[in-house]
Amino acid sequence: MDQDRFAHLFAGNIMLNPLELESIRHEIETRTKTIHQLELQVGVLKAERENYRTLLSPLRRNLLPPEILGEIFSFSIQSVPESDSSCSYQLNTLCHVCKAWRAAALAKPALWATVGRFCIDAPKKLDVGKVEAWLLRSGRVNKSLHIAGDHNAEDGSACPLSSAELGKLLMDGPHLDDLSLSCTYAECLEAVFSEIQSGSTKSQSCDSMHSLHLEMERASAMSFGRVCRILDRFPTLRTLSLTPSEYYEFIHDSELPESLPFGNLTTLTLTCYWPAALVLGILRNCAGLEILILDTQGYARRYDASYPHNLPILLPKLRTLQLKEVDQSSRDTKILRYLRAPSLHTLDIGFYPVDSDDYNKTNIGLDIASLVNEKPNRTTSLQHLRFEYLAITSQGLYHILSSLPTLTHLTLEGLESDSRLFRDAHTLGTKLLPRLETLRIHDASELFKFRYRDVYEYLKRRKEGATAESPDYLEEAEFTVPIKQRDCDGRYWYTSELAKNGLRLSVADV
Amino acid sequence: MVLLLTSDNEMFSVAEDVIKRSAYIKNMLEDVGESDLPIPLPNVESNVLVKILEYCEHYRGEPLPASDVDPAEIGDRSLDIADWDQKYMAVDQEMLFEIILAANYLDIKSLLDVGCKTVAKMMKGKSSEEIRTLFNIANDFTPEEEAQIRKENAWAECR
Repeated sequence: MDQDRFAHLFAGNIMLNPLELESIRHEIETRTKTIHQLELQVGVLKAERENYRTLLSPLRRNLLPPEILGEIFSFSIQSVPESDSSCSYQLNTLCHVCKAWRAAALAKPALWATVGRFCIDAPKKLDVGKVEAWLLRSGRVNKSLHIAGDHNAEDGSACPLSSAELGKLLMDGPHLDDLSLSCTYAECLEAVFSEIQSGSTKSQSCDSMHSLHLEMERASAMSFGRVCRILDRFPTLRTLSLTPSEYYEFIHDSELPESLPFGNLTTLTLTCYWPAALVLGILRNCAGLEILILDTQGYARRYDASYPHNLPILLPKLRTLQLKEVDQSSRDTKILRYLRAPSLHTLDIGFYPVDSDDYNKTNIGLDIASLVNEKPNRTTSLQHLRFEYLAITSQGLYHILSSLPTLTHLTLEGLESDSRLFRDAHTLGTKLLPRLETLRIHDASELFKFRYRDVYEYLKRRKEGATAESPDYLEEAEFTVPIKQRDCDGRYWYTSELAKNGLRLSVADV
Repeated sequence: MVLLLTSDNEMFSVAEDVIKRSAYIKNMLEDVGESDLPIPLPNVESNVLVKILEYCEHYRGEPLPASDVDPAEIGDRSLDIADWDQKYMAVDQEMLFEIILAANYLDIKSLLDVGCKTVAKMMKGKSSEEIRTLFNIANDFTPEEEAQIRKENAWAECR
């Protein structure tokens, strides 16, 4: 600025003549332009600085070795919940970032080991070649292939399961450890397996398969049987999960085949509410089972009065039996009366949550008693018992627990009962659950005023009553208390007292 | 106490039970036995070691992971990160990756997992382009290469 020329103007309040006014405005405009140019230069410099900074990015400099990138990718794709397609999508996204990331992903075979169902039932046609190429990148890692049929494709394309190429993939493709096929129609699954069966050579893919999940929304007993009979082509199959259709009289007018090739199975999950006779017909073929899961999804199972009660099914190796979402009001635990499991170690029964009106309608006590009392082949070594949403009287619960003296771990989730059993346990003639090591009670009912304090007192009495001749094995008790029941339960005092007797008590509010 | 010498020549004196969370140091101490000589850490700078020691100090007394665990075994793959670990990892990207590298070098599996989970979480739900922007990565694929990859994996592009 030409400061000198205007120095006298800065010193006082002087009226400006038109020439001076014009000159000053010119000076202001000049400065404004200069400021703008400098701002543009600052912007350019900042951008250049950021560009240089990006070169310092640790990932750009390939500071992370591919194996660590592979680990990050592994967390990234395996944390994707439920949907397998999102895993594939996520992996694809990572591979598009840059060459180094794609190379790192390709160098980690485990990332490529699963092809999910949802990516295949997309509107695009199933391209078996691409699926095979994807799986082959997983090298020797165990592979999973999940394919869902689709009869509602907008582009009118046929169900992916009807593709002859899929049968070929299952015949000649990479070794699969786990296969999942689901479709509305059992016939589509039949078609896939027929393709395998008609193959002249032994199936390579299915040669090493350990786990198979089959889901058929509409399957008659006969078509279900036809699908299952083909499983003798899978000599290494150990885990089978079957979700046959809902039960309709009109499509279940026929019986299952006399024999099913289930002799090698060690784990079976059956999700359906087919009548007991059909389920037992399946189980009759499963002498090697170690784990059995029966899920009725809250529906009632039909029990045929004519089914021979005197011919229970022996499952000599069964260690774990889980009944899921049992309909409490329909006495669905009755199936226990038809089973003999001398090696049973864990029994887990989850009921479908019900209104309190259904309280105690179950005959579960008699059903379990049948399992542990009926000779021959009664259960003698049950150690783990878990109930979920069991609605029962204290007396009913007592009948169950008093019939299980071998129990070491008891878990009661969402118990619908009062706490009198624990309050009065010391008055009983014999010690309840003498071998118990762990007791867990989570979210006991508010409705029945279950008092946790009664349980703490029960534990204290148990511990204090222990002697050298009659030791107490209880080591751990874990409770979660609904927030409304937490006040004044004395948990801190009991925790400290029980710790003196070697019992870890932990209580959390929910 | 164990003496550690960082790449920028700073010496740290650390309690043995703290630094034994590093399987690398633990094995070295078991192999070499007691010594007054510092253990050189040529891949770890002092500012990073300070962070690593903060982690080891926090988990002092917690059981060490079993040494016979197969590294290939798939562990917990969820992205759940404990509250303290999340705050610990609230650092700039440069430091985050330095921690990961140091955890890898020092063989602190739990810290490596937390680091990897943190990065995985940052990428969650993002497109390739957004990931590039996040980490300042250049797209070095040619258009032809991009098209080829897209073609290979087209079936996995819908979710």
